[in-house]
Amino acid sequence: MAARVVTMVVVVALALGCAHRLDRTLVSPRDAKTLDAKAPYLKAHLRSGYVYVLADWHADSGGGVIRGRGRLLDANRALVDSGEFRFPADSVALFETNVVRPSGANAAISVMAGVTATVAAICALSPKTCFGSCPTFYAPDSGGASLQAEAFSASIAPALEATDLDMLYRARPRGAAFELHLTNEALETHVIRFADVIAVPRPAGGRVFVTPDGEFRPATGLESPSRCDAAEGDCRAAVQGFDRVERYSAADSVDLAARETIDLEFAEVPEGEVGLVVASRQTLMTTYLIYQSLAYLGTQATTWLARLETGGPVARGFAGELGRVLGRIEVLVPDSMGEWRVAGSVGEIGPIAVDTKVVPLPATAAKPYRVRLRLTRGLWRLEYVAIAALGDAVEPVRLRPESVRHAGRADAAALRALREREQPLVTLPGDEYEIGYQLPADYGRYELFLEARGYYLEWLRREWLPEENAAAAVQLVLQPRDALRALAPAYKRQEAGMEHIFWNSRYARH
Amino acid sequence: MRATRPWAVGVGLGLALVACAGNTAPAGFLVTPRLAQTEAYGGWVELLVTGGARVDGELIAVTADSVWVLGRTAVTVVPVASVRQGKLTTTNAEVGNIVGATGLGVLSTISNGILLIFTAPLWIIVGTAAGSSQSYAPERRVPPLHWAELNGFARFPQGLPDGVSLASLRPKPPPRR
Repeated sequence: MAARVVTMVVVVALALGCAHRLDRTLVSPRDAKTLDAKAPYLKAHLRSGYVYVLADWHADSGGGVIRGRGRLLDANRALVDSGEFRFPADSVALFETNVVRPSGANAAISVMAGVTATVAAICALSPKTCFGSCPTFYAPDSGGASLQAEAFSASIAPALEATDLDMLYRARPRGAAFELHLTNEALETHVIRFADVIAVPRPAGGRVFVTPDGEFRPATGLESPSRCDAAEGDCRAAVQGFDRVERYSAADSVDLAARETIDLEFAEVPEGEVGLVVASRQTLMTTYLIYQSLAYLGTQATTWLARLETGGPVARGFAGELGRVLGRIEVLVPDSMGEWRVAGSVGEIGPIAVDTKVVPLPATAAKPYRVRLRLTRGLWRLEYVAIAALGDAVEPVRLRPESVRHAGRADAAALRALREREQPLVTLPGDEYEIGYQLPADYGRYELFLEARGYYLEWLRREWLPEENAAAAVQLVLQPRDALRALAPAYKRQEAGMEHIFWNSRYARH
Repeated sequence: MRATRPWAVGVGLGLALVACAGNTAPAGFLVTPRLAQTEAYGGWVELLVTGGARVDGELIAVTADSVWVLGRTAVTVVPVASVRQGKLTTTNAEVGNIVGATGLGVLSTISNGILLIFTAPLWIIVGTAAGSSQSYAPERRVPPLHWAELNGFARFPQGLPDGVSLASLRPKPPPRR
C-alpha cells in the first residue's frame, strides 16, 4: 500500500514538473514600462551586442531606469562584470523577458497519472474488485461479437476440474466456418482440456435449451410471465426479454445466504410438456467470497489447494459446501395440495456470461401456471424467464476445433491440445486464441453450445496477504453459514461499488 | 515461447507512426527552458538552401532579408530569398522527462491489478503521443512563419550590432562535463 502511494506521488510529481515551454517576449525601450514584472529574469540587449542578464530586476514607474542584480556579458557571452546594475532604459536596444510554463504534454501525463491513481485507489479500497474470471469466450452475434460463455468458473483447482456446458444464445454464425475468441483476462492460469461446439437442430420457430441434466430439449411457443412479483414489486419488465435488462437485488445485510422468492404466473401455457427457461448470471458475491477465501488462506493457500488433491472426495466435499449453502436458483411449482415443491434448479457460478437452462415442469391443467423461484438475495441476476413447450430430447452434433490461431498465426500445438486432449492448452493472462469450427452446411438451423473442460489457478495477490486469517478460513470451509453471516457487513460495504467498478472498468468486453 | 501481444503490436505501430522531431545541434547546445531564461545564445537553426545545400548553426541574427548563422567555425550570411525551408529549435524539448514519466507511469500500473491490461498500454500510447508532440514544441518553421518572427531566439534579437565583427564571434562552448 505504501509503495503504491509513493509510486503515485512520484508519478504525479513528475507529471507536474515534467516538460516545459518557454514564452519569450521582446519589448522596445520606449515600452519599458510594459515589461512583465512577473518574469524572473530580464535580458537587456545593448546596441553593442553586450547583454545584461538580471535577476531581482525592477523598472521604475516610468520605465526610464532599470535596476537589477546579475551579469553583463559581451557579444561572445563571456562575463564582463557582475553585481548590481542601474542603467537608463534608452541605452538598451531591446528587452527580453521569459516565462516558463508547463508544457501541453504535461496535461496528457497528468490525466494518465490521475487515471492510474484513481484505479490504484479503487484497487486499494477494494482489492477483490480488480479481478477477472475463468476462460471467457466471445462469439459472433447480430451486432459483431459478444462475450457469451465463461467456462468452468467453479474449478479453481485441479481437483475441481469440471466440464461446463454453456448455451451460445446470442451466437449468429455468418457461415459454416464458425470462430470463437478465447481470452484469459485475469491474473490466472487456465488449463483447458477441450472446448467443443455442440450443434443441435433447432425446431421451426423455436430454440433448443439444455436441462440441468444435460438433455437438449427443443422448445417452442415461448411465453413471458404475465405476472412477476418480487420484494421490490412488479419485475416483468426486467425478465421478459433477452435484452441485457436484468432483475437483481441487494444482499442481506446480516446473512449473505438469506433467501428471497419471486412468484411468476403464466396466463398462456403451451400444450404438452412444458419447461421454464431461465437465463441468469451471478452478481460478484461468489467471486468476492472465493477471493476472500484465498485472502484468508494467504501464504497457506497453495498448501490448502494441494490438500484438495490429496484429500479425496471428503476434502472436495468441504470445499463445495460454501457453494451449496449459497445455493442455485430453485424452481418450485405447487402440488395438488398447494404446497410448493422443487421441480429443479439452475444457475452457474460466474458473474460475466449469462447461463441459459430449461427446467422441465410437471404438466397441469390449472391456469394461470404458477412458478416460484427461490434464490439467495443479492447473488443472482435474472435476464430472461419464459415458459415453453418442450419436445423430446435430441441428439447433438459434437464439433471439435478445426483450427487455432494465436497472435495472428496458426498454433498447431494449441489445436493438437484441444483436439487430441493428451496435453491441455495452458493460457496465461492476456493470452487470446481464435478457435475455428466447421458447422453443418445448413448452419442457420442449429442451436450452438460450448462444452469445455478444465480448471484454473488464481494468482495470489500481494494485497490479499495482510488478510491472512487461518481461523476465518477454517470457518468458511467448515461453518460456511456462520462465515456468511460474519462476512455480510464487509461485503455490504463494497457491494454497490463492486458492481459499478467492475462493469465500468470494461474488464468484460460487452 | 509466447508470441507478441496484439496491443504490443499496436503500440509499436503507434511509435512508428508518431515519430519525434530531431535536430542537428551538438549535444548540450540546446538547454532547457529554465536555463534558457539566463543564457544569451541563439537557438539552433537549420536551413535548406536552393540547390540542396544545408546550413546549420546558432542563429546569430535575422532580418527580413538575411539570416546570420554561426556554424562550427564561422558565420554564414544567407539571403532568405535563397532559403527553401528553415527550422529553428529554441530549447531542449525535455522529451526525456516525458519518456521517464511514461516509463514510471507504466511501472505504476502494477498498482492497478488486472486493470493494468488497460492502463499500461494506455500509458504507452498517451506517453508516446505526448512525447512526440513535446518534441515539436520548441520548433519554429519558415514557412509558415516569417523570418522576422524568429528574431526573439537569435543571439542578437536587436539585429546584428554595428560594432561586432563576424570573424570575432565564437560558437557557444560545449557544456562542461
